[in-house]
Amino acid sequence: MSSSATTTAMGSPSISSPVSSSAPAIDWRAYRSVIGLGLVMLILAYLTDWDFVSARNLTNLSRQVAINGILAVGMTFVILIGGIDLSVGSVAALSGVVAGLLQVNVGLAQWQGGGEVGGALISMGAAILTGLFCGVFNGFLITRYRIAPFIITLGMMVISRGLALIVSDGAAIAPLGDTFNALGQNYLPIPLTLALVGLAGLGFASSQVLRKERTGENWMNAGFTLAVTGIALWAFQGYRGLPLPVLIFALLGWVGSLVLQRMRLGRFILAIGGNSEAAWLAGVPIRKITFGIYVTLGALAGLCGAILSARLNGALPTAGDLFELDAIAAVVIGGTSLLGGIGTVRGSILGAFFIGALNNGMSLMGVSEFYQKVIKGVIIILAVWFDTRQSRAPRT
Amino acid sequence: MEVNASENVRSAQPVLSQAVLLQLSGVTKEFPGTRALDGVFLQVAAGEVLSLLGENGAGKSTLMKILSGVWPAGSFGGEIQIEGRPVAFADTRGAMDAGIAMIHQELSVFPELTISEHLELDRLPRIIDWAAVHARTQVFLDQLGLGLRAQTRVGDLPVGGRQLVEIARALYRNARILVFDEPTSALTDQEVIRLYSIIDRLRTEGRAIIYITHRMDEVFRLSDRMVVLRDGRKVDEFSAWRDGARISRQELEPRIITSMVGRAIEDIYPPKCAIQGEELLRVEGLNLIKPPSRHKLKDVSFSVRAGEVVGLAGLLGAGRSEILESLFGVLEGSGPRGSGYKVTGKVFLRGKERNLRVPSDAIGARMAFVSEDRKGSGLVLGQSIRSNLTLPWLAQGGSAWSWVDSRQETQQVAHWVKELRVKCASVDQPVGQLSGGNQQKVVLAKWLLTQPEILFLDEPTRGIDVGAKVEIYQWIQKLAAQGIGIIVASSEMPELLGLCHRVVVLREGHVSAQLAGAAATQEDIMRAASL
Repeated sequence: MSSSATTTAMGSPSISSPVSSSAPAIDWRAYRSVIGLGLVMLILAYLTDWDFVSARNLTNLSRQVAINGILAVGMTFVILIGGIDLSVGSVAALSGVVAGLLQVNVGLAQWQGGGEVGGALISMGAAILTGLFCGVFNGFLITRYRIAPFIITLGMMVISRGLALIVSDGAAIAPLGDTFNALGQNYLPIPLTLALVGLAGLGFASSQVLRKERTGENWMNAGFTLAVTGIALWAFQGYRGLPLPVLIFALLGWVGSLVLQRMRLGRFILAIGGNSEAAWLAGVPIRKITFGIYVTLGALAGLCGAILSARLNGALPTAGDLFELDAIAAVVIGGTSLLGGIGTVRGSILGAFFIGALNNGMSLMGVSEFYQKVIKGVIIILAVWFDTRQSRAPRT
Repeated sequence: MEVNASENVRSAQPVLSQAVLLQLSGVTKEFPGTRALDGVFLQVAAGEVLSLLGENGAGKSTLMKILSGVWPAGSFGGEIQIEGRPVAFADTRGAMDAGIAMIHQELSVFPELTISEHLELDRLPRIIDWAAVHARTQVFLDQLGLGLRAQTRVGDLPVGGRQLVEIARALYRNARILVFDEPTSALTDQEVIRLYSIIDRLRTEGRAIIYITHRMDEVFRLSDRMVVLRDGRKVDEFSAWRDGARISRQELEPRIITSMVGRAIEDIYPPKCAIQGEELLRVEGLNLIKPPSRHKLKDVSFSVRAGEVVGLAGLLGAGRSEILESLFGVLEGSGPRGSGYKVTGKVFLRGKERNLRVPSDAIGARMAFVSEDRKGSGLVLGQSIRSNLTLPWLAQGGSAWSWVDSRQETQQVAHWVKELRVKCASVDQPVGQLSGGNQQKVVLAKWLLTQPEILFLDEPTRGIDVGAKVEIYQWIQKLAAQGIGIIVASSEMPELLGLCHRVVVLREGHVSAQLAGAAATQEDIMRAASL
């Protein structure tokens, strides 16, 4: 620490105007997760005789990633403030069960009064509210009584799993209404998909290039955006269009990125994670923000519960097992520090795709599920190990 | 204390044993893009105290890291000799075995272990006979005569006691070269005096001592020779002795400071401006209670006028920082540290009573607080200069859900970095990479960005070099001249006298005297602070 301070202080006395506008060379390390993901996908494609990169499989992959991705976006914020939430998987199960009960036992699936659409919306809303309530419980205890988030959310994980089993009587609740299931199963029609994905991709790419300082890095980013857009367009139009869960995931990821990178709130969150005392002294409302982040993640877990049961056409009290760990792994693979203060939403999204690609690819290859777990674990450790080694190397 | 210390008796003669114990020659260390040390030559004789001086970033820490084996042999150029024999350390263990011990600035002891465990830490056998360990360490500690008990848990000792443990550990390994890195920065006055007498003893025992500090009092109290580093080079060397007598501080100090900074500093305290009159802040009957009934502050009242610099003086634990923290809402329950404290009393801003509960209330009332612990509560060390600079400004200026205006932000950051002359490669550099003085400038800048009317400064120059100190002093007077009311809490009395129009002296949590800065002396403050 003190040595690096020494270095810098000595290295720069000649720089009289500290705010230099000269563009730095492209820092390839910023792209290592993108490149890593691309490599893994290429390897999987090769090993599966290119089945992996078929339009159909890429569409399925994106839909499988959506749930973990939504959780990872929320988890990014929790981890950025130095917290953790272990309860998301169970909360998703509980929320799914609540939605299922409303659909089946209350009969909203064939609701005469409000119609199927009304019934489906109420069921989804109830799922989200259930998750939100669990988040309130987490957030309140963590901020009010300063109990370690690990413990509180561990408790919540067990509690909500138990509640899910209690209210469902331990059994699957099925079948759900078709309108409700659309949330997990339907696609945006292909023309609409093309328009939406194409416009979004072009919009992002141009916003990346049209920054004030036009650096090589911006061009790189725009290039990546366009490449991803191209692949997505090809995959979605070659199969059945954009899956609804992926649409939701994309919107939430976009909002999350904007909040973290462009809003004051994002700065506050990074400051809380970096040094909560300094943030507090600077007038940041730590408690409110912390509470809000846990509540948000709870609501997202509720949403995921609804999407999951809609996709399965049934609510399982045992669903969502180990979702929390996949979400945390995605966030960490994406380069967010478990100590808080450093990280991006984009990284977590890439991390979710990384894990999803592994799951999907290995299943395609017919690797037994037992082996899949071992391989996945090893690859997660390797990915993070590689990442930390890279970031520790001195920057020149 | 620093007054008394320099008058303390010491062995009146310079130790002239010329046996050079340690010699560094041509030591050069490069980091990517910079040369931290450039051909440094240094000798220390047995029975000598050598003060190593220099601004932050001059290369002192790097030099000591080379000496203690943190940078192993081969990672730097030049040679280390002990008693004329070249040595090469592969790691810190190698340096220890060669008889070199570091007494660190941040005490690196393990609070859960006992003193005897510390002493034996690196030499415990696989199977331990604890009774024997305690017995032999106690014998050693008794010989040392510092009043330490072998089985005391180190975490139960005060800071000064922990430092004694570090010294004892060095002597237990029979270290002959001891390096003290800012050893007094966390000590009470009695502990400092005890440390001085220990160093005197080590010196008469014929050990070589290298002493690193920013405090001039200590330099003149302890050293036989002073070596000044600047920009990685040894620029000067002074002897404290001439014809068997100490050279007076008045003669030596200006030369040393000039040599450290590389330019003459006529007067380190700029002239005070005229007070402009209007009362900005009045505090009446401020109490800080730690339940059940411990009063940390008792009935504190004072006021600050526009353009006035008010000092808060007092011994360690008298409540200097606590006053500022209470007023700023830092101790409120919903903060990360908070809970358990109760603050009562009235605060008036421009004559109107205000209830400032949390820091954001205080900031909203145009107050700003440069806290004592820059790393703990002043900065987010891992984040950029830019993010640190604008944090209070952003927190103050609008809803959390509003966009950051990055154009305006860039302008502000550029303006203040230039204004305060923060030395940095880029504003996107992590602030933790800056030297102490530059970090402190960033803290000051981030508060000036909020355009405060009242500025709290807690130990504004702790651990920063003379050059940065002077710049901060100039800023204080400049801000006062703009009509800002300033409160400076400091443990350095010359600083308070040099800066303040008025000094409020605290004793055990209450105001024991208010002295006019122009007429007061260090003795006046000491008397009021300690009875």
